Amino acid sequence: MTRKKIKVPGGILLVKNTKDSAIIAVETAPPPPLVSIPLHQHCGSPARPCVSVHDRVAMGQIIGTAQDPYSAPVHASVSGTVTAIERFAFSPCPDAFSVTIENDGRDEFASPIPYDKPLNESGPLELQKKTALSGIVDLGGVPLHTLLENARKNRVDTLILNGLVTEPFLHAEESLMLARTETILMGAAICMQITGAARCMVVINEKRSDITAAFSPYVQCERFSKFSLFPVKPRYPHQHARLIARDVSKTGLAPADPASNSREVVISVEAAAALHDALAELRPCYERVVTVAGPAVRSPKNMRVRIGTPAKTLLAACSTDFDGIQKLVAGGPLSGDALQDFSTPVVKSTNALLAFTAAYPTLSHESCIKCRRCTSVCPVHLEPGRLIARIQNREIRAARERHLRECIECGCCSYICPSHINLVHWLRFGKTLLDRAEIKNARGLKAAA
Amino acid sequence: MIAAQPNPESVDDRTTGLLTLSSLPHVHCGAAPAQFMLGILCALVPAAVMAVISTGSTTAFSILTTILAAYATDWVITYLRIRRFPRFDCSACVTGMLLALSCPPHLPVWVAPLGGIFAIAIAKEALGGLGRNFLNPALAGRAFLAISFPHFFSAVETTGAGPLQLTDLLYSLMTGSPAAWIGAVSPAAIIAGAAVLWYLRIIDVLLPLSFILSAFALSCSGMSAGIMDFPATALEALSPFLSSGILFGALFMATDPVTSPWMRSGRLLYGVGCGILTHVFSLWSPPGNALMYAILIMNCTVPVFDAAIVRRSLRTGRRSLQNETAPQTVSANEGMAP
Repeated sequence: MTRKKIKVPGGILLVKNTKDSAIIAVETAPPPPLVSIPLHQHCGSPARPCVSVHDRVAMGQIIGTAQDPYSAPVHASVSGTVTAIERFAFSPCPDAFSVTIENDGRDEFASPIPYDKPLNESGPLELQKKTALSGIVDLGGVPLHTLLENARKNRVDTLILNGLVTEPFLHAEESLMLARTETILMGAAICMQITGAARCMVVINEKRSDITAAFSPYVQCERFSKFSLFPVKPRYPHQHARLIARDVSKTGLAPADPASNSREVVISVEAAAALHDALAELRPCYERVVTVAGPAVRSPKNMRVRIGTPAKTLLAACSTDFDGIQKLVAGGPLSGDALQDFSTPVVKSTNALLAFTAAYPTLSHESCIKCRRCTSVCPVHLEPGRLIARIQNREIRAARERHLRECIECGCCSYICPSHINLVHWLRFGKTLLDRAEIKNARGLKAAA
Repeated sequence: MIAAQPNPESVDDRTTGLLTLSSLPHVHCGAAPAQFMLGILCALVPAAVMAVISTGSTTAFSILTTILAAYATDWVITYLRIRRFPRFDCSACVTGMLLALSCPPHLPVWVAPLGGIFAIAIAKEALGGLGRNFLNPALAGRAFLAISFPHFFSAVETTGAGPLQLTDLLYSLMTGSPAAWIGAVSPAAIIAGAAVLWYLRIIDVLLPLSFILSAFALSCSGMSAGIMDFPATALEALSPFLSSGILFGALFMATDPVTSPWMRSGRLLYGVGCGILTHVFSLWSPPGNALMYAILIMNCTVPVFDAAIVRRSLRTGRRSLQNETAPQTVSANEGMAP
């Protein structure tokens, strides 16, 4: 990766033209003998297990029920016997469980979503209820049914269909957009039916002529007359839901709270396609497409995998050099999370699995040379370099006054920093300190009252 | 078909290696501080070449010895401070080069290296090292020399009557005229170097522009106190103005990122402040010294700009947020780790 120019709106142009290097074909990975499905794959509280050990489960059966509006049900991804329900080791949440199912290889399917009437005759509330059973989780961990319900209550007028891929290696979304264009648009139409949105903007990469060509015949036809294409520059992190809403509506940054009052709702293309699968084909969210790539992977592939498949199974199927792996990342090279174990399962939000041979970055001890690149790339107009100086001095109040809470943790500042300072790490640390201070403050207020 | 796939259980023994955990991102653009410093060094080369051409080979010797002295001091001090040799980042070379180019011509060869040693040992390392010094090290070194050896620095070489014709002016822009700072003999070379820095996004235009324009406006208004028509006065004003080294000071010294304000509006005000102080000081002291003290004094005001100017949040522009509840207050030291 070479240095990229920085433009005023912040962010970095990471992908120049991935059309040639993009992997479009999707292979179906064989279901593993044992899946371990975490019950905390969304931003709310963990789902509660509703099966017990030695139960027989069918593929698609609900094994964890949602607990609050920001929680989504979890489905079995294979048919077989539940062998263990144990605390999920890789979650920071103490009451997150994972359900291990031994695959019997028969893939007996039982849909949790009832089929009573055709989609176009159903009302928004019925569709909404079915969406809640499908367990689809959008980017950022917000369940799709919650997004749509909030949007319906806020009477949004625009549905933004987010097909922008701004990071290299993320071919799963691209292949989805090329292969299942109509499904995506039909899923978005269902979303519009639920939310009552009047129009839909399909945001895509302006440099990808093949994706534009895939969408444009549909957008021009009568059926999808409310849809319009919105090509933008693929500048990272403008695929982020809040930033894309800002770019499309040109008003300002939406608040982080998804329940807040805004005029538009952002749905990813994956969620739209999954919604169509769930409501029209009654298939809940139990499998997804994952790109397996990175310097240590000899034959990178897009794989359709069951939720709960361990990462090592996928890596082995792509003939990975395990000895060379220094770092395993779930997600894009900038926005992904580093995994701590090869047996970490694939979850609903895993769009890629990247195996890196070099372990950048480490916390640097070089000092800031105040080049201000972090400030010029920050998409939410922070001054990361000065913020972390406050955080390092534990001046939490000053950091909050400088809008520390607005940070979306995109990683642009760390990416660009010539001194290799891991700014995101410090900003996260600052947010933790701020949380702690606010809890303490709230307790103090309660005691005083 | 199953047999073609590797058995997932058999890879267990190879998957026991330790994995690195870290916050995102997992890639880096590859920039390093040394790139910035090398960029500045390259941008200074035209000015240095013009200085050597116009003042002779002693200047070349002076530049090289100052760079060497600064670099050696950096190594010694860093070793004494942290018992480790510093990483190769050329910052001391930049300081040495800037200092040598900011001295007046025809100095004894030992003077500039002495300033280089002071610049690194006191103005940079003793004030916190790379990125933490609040004074521009090269200018602090020059100030040390100007105070210690005033007879070398106070000899003002006025150019007499400045060129009154535009062609003369253009000629002097290219080849240069004797200046208080040897780096400033050729304005064209300085502007070429600064253009490179601007292209590499190491400096911005705002600060030097506000610096130069405010100083020039003041000197014009001072000279044209109602006696001459403007264009002739402007030309007359320009020549001593350029030979005072203000281009060099504004484009290479005041733009030092460590010792200038963080935000654009702060940099604008900082440039104006530099311009005003330069003009005021040059009424009573040699122009080279006036420029130096103006920038050094403005260096000390940078924390004020940084504390006062905070970047506006993106969200304040949104209309629908007007009735948002105000966040709770947090007291200053609440977040202290136990």
